[in-house]
Amino acid sequence: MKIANKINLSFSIVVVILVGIASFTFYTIAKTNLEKAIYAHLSTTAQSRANHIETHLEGVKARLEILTESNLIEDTVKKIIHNGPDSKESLQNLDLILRDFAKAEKEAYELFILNPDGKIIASTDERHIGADESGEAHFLGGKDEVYIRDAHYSESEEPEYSISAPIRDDYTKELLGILVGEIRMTYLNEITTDRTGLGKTGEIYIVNKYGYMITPSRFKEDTFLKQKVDTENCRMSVAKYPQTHTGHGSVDIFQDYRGVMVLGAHEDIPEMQWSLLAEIDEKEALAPLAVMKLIFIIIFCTIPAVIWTVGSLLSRIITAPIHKLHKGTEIIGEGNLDYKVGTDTKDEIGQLARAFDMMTSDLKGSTTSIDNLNKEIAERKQAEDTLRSTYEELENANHGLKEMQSQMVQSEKLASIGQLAAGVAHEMNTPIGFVASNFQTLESYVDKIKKLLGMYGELTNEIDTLGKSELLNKATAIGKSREDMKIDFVLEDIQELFDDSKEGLDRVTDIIQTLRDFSRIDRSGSLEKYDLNEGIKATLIVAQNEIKYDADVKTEFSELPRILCHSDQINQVLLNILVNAVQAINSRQREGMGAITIKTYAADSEVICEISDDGPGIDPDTLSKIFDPFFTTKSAGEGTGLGLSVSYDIIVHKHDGKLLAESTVDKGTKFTIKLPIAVKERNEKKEIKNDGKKNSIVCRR
Amino acid sequence: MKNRSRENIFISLYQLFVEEHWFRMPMTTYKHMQRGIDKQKTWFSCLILVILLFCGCQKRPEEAQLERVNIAFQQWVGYGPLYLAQERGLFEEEGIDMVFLDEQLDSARRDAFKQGMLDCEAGTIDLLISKRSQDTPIVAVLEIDRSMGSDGIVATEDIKTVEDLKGKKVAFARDDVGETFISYLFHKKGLSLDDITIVPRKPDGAWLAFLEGEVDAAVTWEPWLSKATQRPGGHILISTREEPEIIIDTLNVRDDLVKDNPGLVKGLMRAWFKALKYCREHPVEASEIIAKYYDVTPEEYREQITGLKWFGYEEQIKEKEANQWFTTFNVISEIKFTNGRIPRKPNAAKAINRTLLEGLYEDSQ
Repeated sequence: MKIANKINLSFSIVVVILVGIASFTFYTIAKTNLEKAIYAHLSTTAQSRANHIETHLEGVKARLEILTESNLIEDTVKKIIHNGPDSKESLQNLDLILRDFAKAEKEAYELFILNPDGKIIASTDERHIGADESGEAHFLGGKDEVYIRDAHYSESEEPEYSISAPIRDDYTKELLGILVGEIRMTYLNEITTDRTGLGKTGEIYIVNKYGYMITPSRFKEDTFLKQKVDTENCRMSVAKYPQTHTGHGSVDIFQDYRGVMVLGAHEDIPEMQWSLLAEIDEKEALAPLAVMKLIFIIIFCTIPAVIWTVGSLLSRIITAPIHKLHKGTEIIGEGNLDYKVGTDTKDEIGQLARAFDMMTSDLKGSTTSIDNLNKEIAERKQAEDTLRSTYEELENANHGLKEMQSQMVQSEKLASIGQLAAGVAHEMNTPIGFVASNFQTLESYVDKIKKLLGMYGELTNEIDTLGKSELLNKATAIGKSREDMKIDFVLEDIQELFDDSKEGLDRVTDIIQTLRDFSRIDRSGSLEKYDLNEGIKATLIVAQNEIKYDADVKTEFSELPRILCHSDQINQVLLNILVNAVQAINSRQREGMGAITIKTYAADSEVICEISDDGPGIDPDTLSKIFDPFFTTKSAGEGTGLGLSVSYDIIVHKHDGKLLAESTVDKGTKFTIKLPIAVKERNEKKEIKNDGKKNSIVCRR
Repeated sequence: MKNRSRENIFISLYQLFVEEHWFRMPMTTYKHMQRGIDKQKTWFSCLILVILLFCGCQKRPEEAQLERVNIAFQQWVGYGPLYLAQERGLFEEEGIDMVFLDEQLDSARRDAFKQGMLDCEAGTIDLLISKRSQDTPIVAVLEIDRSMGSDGIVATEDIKTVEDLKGKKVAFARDDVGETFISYLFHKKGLSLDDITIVPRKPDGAWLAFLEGEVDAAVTWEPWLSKATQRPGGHILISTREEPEIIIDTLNVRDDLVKDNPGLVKGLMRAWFKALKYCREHPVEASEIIAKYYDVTPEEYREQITGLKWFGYEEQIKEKEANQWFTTFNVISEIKFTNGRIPRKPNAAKAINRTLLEGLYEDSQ
């Protein structure tokens, strides 16, 4: 949905709802107030009319009562009763009185006097004299007290009501007769048909206790005792239940006897059991409301249209710059950075437009720098390529270096092996030498024995063929040869030769065993229990050849606990240090032999081996570098410079130990190897962990 | 859904009215609506709001109107169940808005009947006779009660028999039940009303005349009969206990109502029988409701009604009762006519209508 429509719709809905609620509230309040006013007016009117009617009735009643109480009437009636039909004069008087009274009482239709038996003795209408009224209500009701007979038709079909009052003897209270006045409804009709303040449709009428109209209707003809009024207003005024009946009040809009909706009020006239009803048509009464309703409906209908129009204008004002902006973005999006939205408005959208324009110019500026940037990027890319190739070269170089390093380590190893081989060869030379010489001797001895054995063989073959002498000669010759060949000595010497050779071979075997122990050919790679003293001994044997011409080795072994380690690696370290020591001693021109002292002892948690020499010592500068790889003091080609570096790696990194060098120039150097007794498993683990990761020289081995 | 939060209220309204099936619509319409839901939801909700606003302004329809029926009767304990029926809404159940009118004078009732303003009355057969004899268009449709001790003559100590009344001042209402009762008694004893001094009183005034010592005897009925005996030496000389067939009360309805609106009359009759049933089943509660209308205590009321008998529907439709109505009607007609109280003897067949009674429950509801 467009913003414009959204604004419009929300605007319209809110306004329509508000207007609706406001209209409804106003209408309801206005209606309530208007109705209240109408009810009040109707009630007041009904009340005043009812009062008027009551007063009128009271008046007529009172006048009749006064008449009955007058002595004139009393005496006249008495005379008539006592004298019977003879009292003509009295009857004439009575007629006169009645006529006079009737003249004064304009509404009176007929006045007559009944005797106690119910017969008319005097009347304003002579025709009725003598009629029997004993069965009539005005007679029966009027005997004891003043009685008002409800509205009814007179003889001549005229609406009337009648009031009867007893005429009594002043003293005896004896009933002398009954005065009956039949009164026309005209005055009551006048009161009810007075339309003052009732507008065009308002009316007031009286309903008797049976629910029938007794005064004229404004709208219908001939309603007297014929028009039944069974409306809510009338029902409210009927004293059906004395508890709830109030006698007066008003009724909300209801249907009247014509079926028209009206507003009404009612007022009782209790004496007559009449209800006076005041009603007005709803249409007329609530006409102002209808106008109001119309106005509200018009407002209700027009407001959305107005709102829609205003909303459309408003939203156009709001959305126009937005549209402009939108257009601008599209144009700029197509690449035209010179376009300017340009709006003068001071509101937020104006700000936005200006910011947008600023952004566009910034964008333009940055587009130029982007070109430069691109150039720079290209250059950097090139540099990066160069760098990459350099890196690759370096990588290759590194790789070569690593390979070289590995070769170097290999050659160091080979050097060790060379040393080892030289030592071993020398050691084995002596025993092998005399075993070889013994074999030469043995060979000659065996030849002699072979010769002798051949002679003996010939003799044996010729025993049968030759004679005794010949045999004897031959035997003598053989014995002589045996003596010549010193066979007896030979046999003795053979035993000695074998013993010597056996000793020589044992020594070779020992050396080979030592060599195996030293290099741990069979158990290489895993931790094993190791006696440092034994290791030193084996190393000394291996290094014998190197040492023996230059130095005396003095060992001071203490009893050591066995430790867990890679024995071949430790041996390699020992050999390395020893050989270094010998070479150091050798480098010092001296007369006698140098001295190497090897001392072992156990401290708290470690075994310690100190190897000291009395060589030239190392100056502090050099000392600090001796464990660096490739550092060497020897001339090129003589050493790899890796010996001590590897040793350091073995002791410190692989065994958690310490390798220390102390030196005093001209006095000598002391290397101390400290190995923990409880070589922890973690060493093993660490090694495994490091394996393959650390491109150390050691690992490559 | 672009802007949910703003449309939320409309959506929920829409769901309330359509998706919750407040009113049903064909599935195709529903699907169609689902498709165009975005726009339609908003408009639909607006529409609903407007409709609701308009509905709120409308008035509720009026309830069904009851038909007004005017009834008038004298004060007589036998009519008590009428008050009960009114208070318990039994007339309303039959669609009748019953209006009780205070009209003690029989002549006034006659006039009102003739004018067509009074619809029905409860009254004795003798009054029915006098009204019928004056061409009052009413007809008896059911028996209300029968006096069996509740009507009577109160007299001073020295009056021991009906004959003793000779020459005494007796108060009663002329052309009313009292007159009928005493006329009947005198007729049986061969006496005439001329043998006594009649002190005419209004129906509710005779007993007072006796109580205040104005007269030697009075013909009256409950609730005044018992009250009148409070005069020192006052006693009940004779009552309908000894003459139970003579005072029968009937429900009399205007002829044209019976003819034109028999349903309404039947409703009226059914309400009466319902009230009777209640009185029989709940005598104490009934007396509590009714007693206040007679200005007596429930106990007093229960005491007073021992002098009368109400006949239920089953008893009334019996042949015997029908005959009794006619017999009484004719006997009293005869006496009244002989005494010159009525101009002519009315036709009992026209004054009594039993067809509604017999078919009372045939077409109910």
